[in-house]
Amino acid sequence: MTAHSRRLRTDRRQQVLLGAAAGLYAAVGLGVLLMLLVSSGPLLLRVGVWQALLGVHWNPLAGQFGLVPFMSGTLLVTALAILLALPLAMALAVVGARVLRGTGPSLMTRGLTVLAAVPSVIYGWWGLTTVVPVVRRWSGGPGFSLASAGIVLALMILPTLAVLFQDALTRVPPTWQEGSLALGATDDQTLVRLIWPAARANLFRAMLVAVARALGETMAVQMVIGGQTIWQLNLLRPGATLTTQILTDLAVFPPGTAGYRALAVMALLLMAGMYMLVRISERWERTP
Amino acid sequence: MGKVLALWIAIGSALPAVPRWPAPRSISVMGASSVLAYVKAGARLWQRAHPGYQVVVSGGGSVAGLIELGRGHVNVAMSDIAPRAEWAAGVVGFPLGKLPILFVVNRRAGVDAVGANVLADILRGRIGNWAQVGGQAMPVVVVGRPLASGARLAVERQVLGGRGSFSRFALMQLSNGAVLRTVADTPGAIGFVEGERQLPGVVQLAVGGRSFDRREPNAWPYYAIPTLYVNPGASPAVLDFVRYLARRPDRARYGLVPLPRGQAS
Repeated sequence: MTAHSRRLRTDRRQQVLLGAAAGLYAAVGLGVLLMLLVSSGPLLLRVGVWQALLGVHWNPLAGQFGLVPFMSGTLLVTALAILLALPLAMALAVVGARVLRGTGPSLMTRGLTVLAAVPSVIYGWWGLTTVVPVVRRWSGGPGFSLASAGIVLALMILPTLAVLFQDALTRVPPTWQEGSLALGATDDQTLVRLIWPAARANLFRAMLVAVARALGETMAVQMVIGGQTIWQLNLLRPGATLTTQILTDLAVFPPGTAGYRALAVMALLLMAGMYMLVRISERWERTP
Repeated sequence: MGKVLALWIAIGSALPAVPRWPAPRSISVMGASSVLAYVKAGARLWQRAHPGYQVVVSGGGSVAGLIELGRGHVNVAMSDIAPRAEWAAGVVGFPLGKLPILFVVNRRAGVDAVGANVLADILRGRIGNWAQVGGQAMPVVVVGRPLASGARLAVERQVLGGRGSFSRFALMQLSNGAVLRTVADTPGAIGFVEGERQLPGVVQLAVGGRSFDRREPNAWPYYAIPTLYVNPGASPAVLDFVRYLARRPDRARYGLVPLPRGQAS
């Protein structure tokens, strides 16, 4: 056997091995989806999809499985987190990509990466000791609230968002920027009228990554949100999200019960939300 | 595809057989967090007297423990809740004692004693301000535990007269410690915790003219009864382990009050 044919054989083995790994991963993903569909199907058939999704009362012991309080809580907390994190992350990214020189940008990226890797329970702890008392003083309420959860989440996604934004900004070819400056544009004009539009697709995808992280976060949110299952839109009042309610009630409903099926519907909703985010990001494929 | 399958089978057959869990000389315990500290401490001592055995103890809640026992995934379930047939049928219980459920109030509420009916109305959300019961003019914030909590079940049965009557406006916390902290930090908050413990920053509530006194623990009416459950065919080692825990004399150190004769099995 020649050296060339040996290499070809090794390549084929590697392909088979990698194919098997990818196949296993796909099988696990499909298995999770199948399990959720099988678990939630009977409840959706019995209660009706819209009645389950649009119901506003969650009282599983009384057969009420309305998911609006949790969908609303998830959307409000995520929206608040993105609103708070977006300008700060952009400011950090602009500093990292355009203001700092020498080792500054890489040092900043390292620092942000370390912050992004901090376990969520630590952010939750910080929220409990710092954010909740502040919100309590502001609002006069208990402090455990959608707002507290949004603020904690904003801090959690900020490092990830800033690193991705910084990466997006540095991908704009320097020759474009030099051309803009040579034509007499100021730094600010170059940033706003050239770099941001050129990096729009990557910036948008970075935001979707941050939204996905915010949607799926559980522990840190659970520690500060209050866990109230009543539908209300006041950010200063307690609430719950899809993930926190799954965490709270999973231990009480054995498989096969209506409550368990309702939790599976919540998980399906989260997966559907993530799928939508992926599809939206695919529409922004073109990059400069 | 055929090659992928063949490779997969080859890898699978090359791996050593996965041992059944739990291993024959290990005892796995799962369930209520209220007696986790006691069971862990007891397990350490039991292991010393039984070399070769390993006891693995984890929380997860009463219901989760019972469900896993029913499925045969653990040897012992710790639970404050009586098992339902759909969770674990035919299991045998070994009560560890009585665990007092204490009601705690934030210091600023200005209340340290209420009647049993008033307590029920507060926890149901019918009384919304402490001024209504002689305290400060301050909203009542009820702090509860999730549906899976054995302490919540006990409070619903013993104070509220049934499941599902807890205030819909209650804050939910996942552990006794989180409840204590929330009550201590939140003006006007009231909650309940299992077991006698250091209660900094909160007032322990007297109910119906009675307050918990460790010298007369049986005078206090609100209790959970944490129990170790095993399957009928449990091994002698598992039975020995749960009997040891159910009879240890130092249970009081962990807040457990021995049951009066006749109630202990």
